Amino acid sequence: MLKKSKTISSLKGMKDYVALAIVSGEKFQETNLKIVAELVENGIPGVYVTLNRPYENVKKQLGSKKVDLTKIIFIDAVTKTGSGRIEKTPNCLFIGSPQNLSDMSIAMDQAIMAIPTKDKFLFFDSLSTLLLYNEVGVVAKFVHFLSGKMRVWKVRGIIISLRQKKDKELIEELREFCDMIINL
Amino acid sequence: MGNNFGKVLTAFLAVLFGVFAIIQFVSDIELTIDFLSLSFGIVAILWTYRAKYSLSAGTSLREYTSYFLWSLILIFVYSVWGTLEHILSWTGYWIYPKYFMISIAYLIFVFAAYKILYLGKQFGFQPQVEKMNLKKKKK
Repeated sequence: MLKKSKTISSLKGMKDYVALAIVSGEKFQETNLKIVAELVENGIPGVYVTLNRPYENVKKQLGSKKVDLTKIIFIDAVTKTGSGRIEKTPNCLFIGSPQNLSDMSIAMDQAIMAIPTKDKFLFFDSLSTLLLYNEVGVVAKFVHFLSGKMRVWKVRGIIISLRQKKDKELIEELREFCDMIINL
Repeated sequence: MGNNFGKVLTAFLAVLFGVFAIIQFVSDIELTIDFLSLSFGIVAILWTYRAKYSLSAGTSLREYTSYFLWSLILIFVYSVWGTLEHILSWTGYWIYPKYFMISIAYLIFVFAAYKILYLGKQFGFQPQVEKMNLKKKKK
């Protein structure tokens, strides 16, 4: 049965799940950082997929919260690469474009499978940005694929979405794929 | 699960009947093998073509699939040429184009192999995971 919650602490004690976190615009970044910081503080390594803010910005903000960045593999799909294609740095894989869903899927698969612990997380930021660059149908299909993969990987999967009118329809559609909806 | 088993069984029987039909109608063993190779080639090309157009445009994997598809097409044309050569008893200069095709196919395979090497480097996260100093190991 689909659970609904208003706090991220409701995820505590759950080993693997697919959660859709709907966050309001004004505390969007703050909430995201809080979720990731909490997971890393609990010693859980994971993958942070950012479509919303460039890696450098996320790194700076997480660093200011004293989050151990070595525990996170970053996949950045928002920073434009020189060639417009994938580029790798020691700490981050740049996909080049949020429309590049095939490379994004491979990158997530490889990153998650490379982490050898049982407990790991996948943080996807965000569904709303994905909608800006792709058709609703494509995004729905991608999230269906992603939630299925999250179950296979047995990770703590968190998909972030901005609370806005135009995302409402898609969120309704995605409810059935998720274990929990968190309204933050 | 049951549905998948049905599909696999149907496909297997279809291939079996196809092979049987080729053996029945084509008496020449070499020609039979040629036709079988061509039918496998067609299936490989169709699947790769479908895979290519399922992937997003401009992605690394799609680019790799393109190289692979061109190699398959050239090998297929090489086989067609070989079969025609056998049926029409070509000699002289007619036999050389097939060697040209197979050489180009291998050359494209080299590009495809380089591409997959590049992809392996880009999508390999092992160095980052080593930096994590994780204590718990997967059972």
